Amino acid sequence: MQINTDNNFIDEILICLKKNKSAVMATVVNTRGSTPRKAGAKMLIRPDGSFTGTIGGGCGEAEVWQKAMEVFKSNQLSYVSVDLTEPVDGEDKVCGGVMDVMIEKLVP
Amino acid sequence: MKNSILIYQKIQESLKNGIPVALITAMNSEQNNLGRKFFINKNKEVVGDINNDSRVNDLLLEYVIKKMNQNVFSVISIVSLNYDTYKITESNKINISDNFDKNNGSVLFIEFMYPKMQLIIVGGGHVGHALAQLGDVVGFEITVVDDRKDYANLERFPMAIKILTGDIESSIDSLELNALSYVVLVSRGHKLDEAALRMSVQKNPAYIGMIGSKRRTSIVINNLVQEGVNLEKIQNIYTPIGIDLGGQSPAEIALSILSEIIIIIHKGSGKHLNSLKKIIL
Repeated sequence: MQINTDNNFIDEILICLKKNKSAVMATVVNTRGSTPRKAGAKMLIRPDGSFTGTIGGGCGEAEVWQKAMEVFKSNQLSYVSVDLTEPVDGEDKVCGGVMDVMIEKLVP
Repeated sequence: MKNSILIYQKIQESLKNGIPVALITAMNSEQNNLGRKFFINKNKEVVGDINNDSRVNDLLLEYVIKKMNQNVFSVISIVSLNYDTYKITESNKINISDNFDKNNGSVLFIEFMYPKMQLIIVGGGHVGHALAQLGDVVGFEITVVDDRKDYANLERFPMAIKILTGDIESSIDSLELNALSYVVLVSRGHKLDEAALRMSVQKNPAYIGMIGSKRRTSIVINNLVQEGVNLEKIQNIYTPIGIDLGGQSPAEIALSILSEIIIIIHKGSGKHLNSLKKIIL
């Protein structure tokens, strides 16, 4: 259920912060049209590029992942708009909406 | 954002203790705040702040607590905070390609996080068992109440965090029920339902549903009304219980009950999605 907070996810954040001294959090802040996840969905990216949680899978996540790796270096909170409105015959982006994702670096 | 460990530890601790929390993140760079975080829980404990101006933090605290007390489960809320007027305005939709900094104030992303919801199952029979299994999968914390140890035990209910086998009324009395508690009465007889219901209505859970035929449930309700139990509370009881899915087996009945609870939580319509939207060809 969406309103339940996944306690395991909070545990993961803490483990990552203690072990790696940093983590990047991607949070869906806004959606338009039909999207796999709604505002509040989260994904945690570790410095080695591994991640946990999902903001919807597929190409959207790849874009977010790439930005996350930049944020590790820049330390700057930034945004990425994941456009899932591209033609159906292209990639897997058939949902038809746009997700705005906030990407921020967390340090202990 | 610095001090993340402290904030996430506090989130973890609060949720484990059953306390809802809110985490506020500054989305724009007004006052060089970008990414700054402010933690608030329902007990008004705070970590960090969004601004050096205590009036701003107090305003946010007040806003968050008010939201939490509405018992409407907000997942997120985006607000603008104006530093001239000290006003908080909810903005449902934002556009990240807009320059937030045109606003004279902060744009804040507020996430509400809640402890797990409790499903209290009174009656460990067939329906109770199916409810525990399904409820566990959906994400509820399962409590089973039944005075028969042969039915209410860990072998039968390995997913339960609590199994109470004492007298039904005092078992329910020992539970702390709140707006995250869903009570389902599926016991073996109307005497037990009556005892369970009498105690449950006093504890103001989010939901009370009672299984049974019209005859059985009306006997129970009439008895409680005659005892002088608050009529409004009785009218809020869901009986007959469940959504009309048409099923008959214990598992199907359990699914129907859980469907009712999920519809209430998310304010769903219970309608076929394909009747709400036509497929565009």
